Amino acid sequence: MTEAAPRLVARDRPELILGDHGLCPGCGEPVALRILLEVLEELGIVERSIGVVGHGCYGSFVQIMDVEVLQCLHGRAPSCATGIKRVRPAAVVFTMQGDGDMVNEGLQEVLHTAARGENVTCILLNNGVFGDTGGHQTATTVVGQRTKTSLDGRDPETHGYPIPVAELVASLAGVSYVARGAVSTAGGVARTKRMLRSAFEHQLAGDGFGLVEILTMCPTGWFVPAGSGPEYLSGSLEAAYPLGELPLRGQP
Amino acid sequence: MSRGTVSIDVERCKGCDLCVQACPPKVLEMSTEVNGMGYRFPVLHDGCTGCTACQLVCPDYVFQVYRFDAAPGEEDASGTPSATPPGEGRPSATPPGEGRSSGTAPGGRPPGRAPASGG
Repeated sequence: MTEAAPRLVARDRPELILGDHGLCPGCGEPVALRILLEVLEELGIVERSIGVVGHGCYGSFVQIMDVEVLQCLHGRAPSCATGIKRVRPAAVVFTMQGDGDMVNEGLQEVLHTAARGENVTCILLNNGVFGDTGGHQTATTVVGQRTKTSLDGRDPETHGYPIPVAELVASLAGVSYVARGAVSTAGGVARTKRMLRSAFEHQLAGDGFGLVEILTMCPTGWFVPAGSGPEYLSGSLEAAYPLGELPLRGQP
Repeated sequence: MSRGTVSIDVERCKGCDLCVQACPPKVLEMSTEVNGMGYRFPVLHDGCTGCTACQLVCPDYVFQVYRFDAAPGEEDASGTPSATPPGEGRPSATPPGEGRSSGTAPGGRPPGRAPASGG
């Protein structure tokens, strides 16, 4: 008999994901959750990981992720993570926040946490809309992007310009790692996973604050078909927010 | 000859079409029938390389990817995988036109999480 035993090379999801999520078809956030949990598994730090989650669509992940999680007030996740890390320095502390949560509701939290050089890892899931509450414009909505509250596209005359939070954080001292990835393509997912791994390795080494911004698809909030999310992302968010590891400009 | 194959949990799929676009050898196609939630789901044709691109982009954790370490023999290509993982009631991927209904294994294959032969 010929050898043809199929060898499993990629599981559908890590065992840390306990069930199905209820997010829209074509959403990028479940992909980000999967690579995050895979990184925790591969680094062998699941048992001492504590996640801090903000408010957004990804908030429903607390019900299906088998990791210690604290859900805090809007935008306050970096401050809660600061408290947890200072009380339990051996814990691996990360936040998972959306763009509305981190950049609109709690911009000062993440900036102060970065400037203090807290040894935590913040993860920003950036899709440019408040998906959970109906798809309003956020502070990271790119110029020209249509949302429920900017139906003709974001107009700088009326709405101002988006805030590139990763570049702001990278300009501060106390920061050890800032990177921006996207989960719109298979290669992008693999690269983003390596960024998450690097960020956690910096935290394990005690280097200081780390931020990984992940551009995710929100076809519902972008008014495009589920399958057109990656194409829209590459033409809008990715054009305004270049991918890759950001140079750290604030080192003393 | 397929170098790899995938198992597709069609009942978990929300029909977003991302896997079809991500597939480098273009061997995934959306079905014309729908699953229990009313979504179309991907079906696998011959030529899978086991590259894991579909598994990487899938937001609903539908795919498990397998590779064949050696070329499949004739008895395997006829639809009886030599190593069948324990059954979990998960239907496997089928080519279109096999008259598969959701939740049952097609083509006389024993029910379970059997990877499709994929050619």
